[in-house]
Amino acid sequence: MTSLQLLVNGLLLGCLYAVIAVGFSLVWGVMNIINVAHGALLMVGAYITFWLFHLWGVDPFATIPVSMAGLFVLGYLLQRYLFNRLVRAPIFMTFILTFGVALIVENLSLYWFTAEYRSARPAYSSSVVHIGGLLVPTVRIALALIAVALTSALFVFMGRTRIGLAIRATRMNLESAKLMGVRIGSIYAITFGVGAALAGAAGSLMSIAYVISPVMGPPYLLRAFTICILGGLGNIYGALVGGLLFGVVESFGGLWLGTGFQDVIGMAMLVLVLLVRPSGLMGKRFYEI
Amino acid sequence: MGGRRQRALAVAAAVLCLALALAAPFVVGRYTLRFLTSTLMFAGFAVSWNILGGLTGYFSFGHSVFFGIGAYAVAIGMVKAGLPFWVSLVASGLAAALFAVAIGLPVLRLRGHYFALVTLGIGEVVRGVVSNLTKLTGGGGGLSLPIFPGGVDTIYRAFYFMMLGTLLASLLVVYGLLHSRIGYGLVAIREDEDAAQMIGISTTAHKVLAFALSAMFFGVFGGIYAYWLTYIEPADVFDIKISVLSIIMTLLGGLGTLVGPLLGTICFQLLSEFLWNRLLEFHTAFLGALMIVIVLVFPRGFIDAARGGVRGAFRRTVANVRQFAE
Repeated sequence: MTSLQLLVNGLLLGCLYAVIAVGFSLVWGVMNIINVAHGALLMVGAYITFWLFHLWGVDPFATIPVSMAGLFVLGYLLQRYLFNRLVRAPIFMTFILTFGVALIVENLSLYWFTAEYRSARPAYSSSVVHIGGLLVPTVRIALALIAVALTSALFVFMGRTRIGLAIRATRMNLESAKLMGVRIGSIYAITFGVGAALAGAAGSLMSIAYVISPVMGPPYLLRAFTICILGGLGNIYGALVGGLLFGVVESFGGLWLGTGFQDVIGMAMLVLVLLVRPSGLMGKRFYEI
Repeated sequence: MGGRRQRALAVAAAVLCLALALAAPFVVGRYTLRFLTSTLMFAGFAVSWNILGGLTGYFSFGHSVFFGIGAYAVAIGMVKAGLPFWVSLVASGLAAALFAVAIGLPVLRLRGHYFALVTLGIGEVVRGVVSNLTKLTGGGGGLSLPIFPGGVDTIYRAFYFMMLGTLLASLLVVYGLLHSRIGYGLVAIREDEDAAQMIGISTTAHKVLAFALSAMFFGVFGGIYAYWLTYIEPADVFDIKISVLSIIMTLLGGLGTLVGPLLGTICFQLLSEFLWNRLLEFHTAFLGALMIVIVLVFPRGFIDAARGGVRGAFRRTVANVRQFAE
């Protein structure tokens, strides 16, 4: 495989990583919650796509809005009725709380869906495009485009809509936002819902081109974390750049070290960035656009 | 602990517990003895996790790594290098402690969320690497160890006493720390790391020491566990549940105390024996639910909640929610 091919593969995968990371970054940046359940939510989204495709033959791409809506509701309810209770608690408490949710979701999925590896591959997934000397599956290009569209949509949502502005205002100054009539409780719930919906969309995208299983979450959680650190927290561009960078490094590292050691590279990158440049490659201090 | 009478009571209680623990293996049946042996091991997890998590304030979610390293050190030492068990056991503690120093030097510079997630990540990574080093570790297929010499009852008792001995050692270390300069240093770091550094505590050395001590005990427990089960595989000894259990049991009993983790483990083991061990496929979900209940209702542990009454703890939680909601 040529380096150019590896680069393209890495960039296409990196777009998906960016979607995983922006949702995680949004929740972290706005509420200071490390959402350990992010990987589990992604897995739920992947299974929504899989079951719709498998049971009713719905086109996997058409299931993305369904999984986003479903995950938005789930995320909204989780934040509204569970996580909001501890927003002011020490950071470890929310960490443990979301960890508990992740364990429950994963356990139930393992019970209902079994540990079998699955995938929602549509019939047309074998078609490829020749660009120069490169072979690129059409589906992966579509996935990357959708991923970029979702990231851009979040950008517009945060910058141009009233709710987006309210979320940013809440992040910048809680007390002033309250005085301006922002209902913090529901804004937090919406923020978490949006983060969960992005995780769901990412899960749906993953299920089309990759294998899924109930325990797929934790590795993606760690990637999301690494990418947020790489790109700088609370910054959509940063997550996109971090995601692309991570995808490329992983794709080359897999060739040089073997796929079994891929996660080591990610972890090494994470520790290195945290030590050398803790604010990230494009770091800004707060949630800014 | 104020007053001579209270101290005398505490000593009496400790002596009584120790006597019961020493007599138990000659009285109870095999099933119970097995249960007690694993309870001692879990108690050891909680007590030694508490050195870093409770005393120093650094929540590690990756302590299963040290357990796994200890287990593999004994397995590789005995099977591949042909060393006797006791030598391998020393190696398991050393290997875990050395690994803790190696990763602790960079990672302990991180605080809060960062440290927690990085330790979680290291856990995942090491498990992946061990599964892939097939030549040394047998990969996903695991390693089989020789069986402990002697009759069935001897074996049961031997492992019980090994676990008990290691647990006592870890308790002694925590006791020593709580009454020494180093321990005060650790607590100072927990309360305010910058201030601790300002008054001249070498924070890095303290944190690495706490990390290594805590890891060493996990390594030794892992080593004993490997010889006890005579078969280990990465999915079992690097199970994230080991880290999660340590945290839950410590939180149940109370962070940063000597007997808290011990009591937390006993509560937890009784709960799990009578409640959810009958529904093994939902074990992890129960653990998750327990974590949620702990942080919502008993954020300072059962002991504290019992002091102010469960109602008091609940009222505090509700007050917290009210204060937040508009």
